[in-house]
Amino acid sequence: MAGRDAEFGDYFAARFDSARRTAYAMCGDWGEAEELAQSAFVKVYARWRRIREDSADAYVRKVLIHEFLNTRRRRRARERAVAELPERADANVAELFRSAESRGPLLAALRRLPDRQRAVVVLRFVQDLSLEQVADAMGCSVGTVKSQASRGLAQLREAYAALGGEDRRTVG
Amino acid sequence: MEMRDEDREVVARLRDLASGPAPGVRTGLAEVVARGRRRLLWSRAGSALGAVVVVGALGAAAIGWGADDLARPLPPAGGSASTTSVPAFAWPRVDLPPRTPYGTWSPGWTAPPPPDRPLVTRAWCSSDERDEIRPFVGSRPVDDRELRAFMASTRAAAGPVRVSEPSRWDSKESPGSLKQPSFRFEVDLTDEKGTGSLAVEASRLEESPERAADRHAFSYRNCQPPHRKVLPDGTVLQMYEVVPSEPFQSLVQKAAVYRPDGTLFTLSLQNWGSPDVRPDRRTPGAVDRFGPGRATLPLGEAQLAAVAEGLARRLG
Repeated sequence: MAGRDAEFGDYFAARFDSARRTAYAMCGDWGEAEELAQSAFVKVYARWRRIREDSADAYVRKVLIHEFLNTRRRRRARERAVAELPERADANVAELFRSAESRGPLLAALRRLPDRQRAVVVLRFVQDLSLEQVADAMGCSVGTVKSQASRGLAQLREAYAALGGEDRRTVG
Repeated sequence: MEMRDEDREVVARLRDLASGPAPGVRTGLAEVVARGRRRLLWSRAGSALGAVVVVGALGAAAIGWGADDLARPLPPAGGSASTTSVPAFAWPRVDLPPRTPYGTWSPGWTAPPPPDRPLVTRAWCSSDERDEIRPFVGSRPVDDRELRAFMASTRAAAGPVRVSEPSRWDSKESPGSLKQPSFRFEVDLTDEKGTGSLAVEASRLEESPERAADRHAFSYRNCQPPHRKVLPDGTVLQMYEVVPSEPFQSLVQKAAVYRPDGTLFTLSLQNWGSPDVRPDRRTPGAVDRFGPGRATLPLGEAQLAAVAEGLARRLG
């Protein structure tokens, strides 16, 4: 186990923060990003011998995306069931976006993308992966990645501008 | 795909977002390896044995790990239950089967406890409800009447422990987070062993107190079911075990008050207080935890139970 652990330790030291940052770009919360990255690396450790060194990054991406989408799916299902005053729901969302607007228009714009589209945008544009690599991580076709990335970027641009990103850029 | 100039701008900013300043990594290699080994072990057990044998082994492991938990208790509370009129804590455990641990919590190497404190390792259980309760707790403000009831109950139960005036903490003041806004009041609790704190948060239920309490029974990664008391008016009081957390092997104990009027109050007893936090210079409105806090919780379990019960009774 010692050799395995040492090898994994090197990989963990080199890649954990990168995985955490990718997760943050998808979920927008550092605490959640840390948990997603941690869960992904636990799974990577358990399969370490089977993962060839050159495919470890691809495996981490797949697991990270899977964890992110699963967490969101479960949360959506629960949010429907969770008690929340209906009359406050719109106010909460509005407040969320108002708050995000003043503090991070890009985060708020990202938040408006559907989960899968957001994951595609992050992998394609933040991680700068090829269409094939994104398709592999997402478990879908290259054509789907192309259309999702294109649509996602367009929506992001519009939402970002609408939330004041353009103004801030001009002023700053 | 041909990219427009505006898109390049957005993409550049996206990359800044992911590569910019970030809080320190809290996850340690040891924690990941420990969880990974456990996962590996289970995976091998699953391959080698039939499903029935595996279920038996998991049951035995649950009992074993549960016993380890008890054999290696978290530091006792430093409160003064014996010097107050608070009765001993005697709520029975909820009749629910314990969860099977999937990993072990141990302090992260980036923010370990002070050297004079014994290291705590503790079995962790997964909780399907955890994702739900975190954004849910504190989703509505505590009103004036509720705050008065909380303060009166805390002062009555704290005995010689000094109770500060309440401070208000609203997470909507935390920039950069996309979580729902949440609202919380907190008081410092101080005695000769240092300062800890007690927080109260409110949320709204749309199901019966008992049903909600059952659903949240394992929401704090606890493996053993919580302790519970049901009051004559239908209020359900629920007490969880002490849980260690990052940073500095912090200690937290939760108690919950499920009211028949559809309100849930969550009390969080913590071994750190206002002397251990300072304004976060990078994020206005947020605080940075820098102090490890005291070695023990500032109140005993019976005192926390008395606060929960007092709050319920004062609100009638």
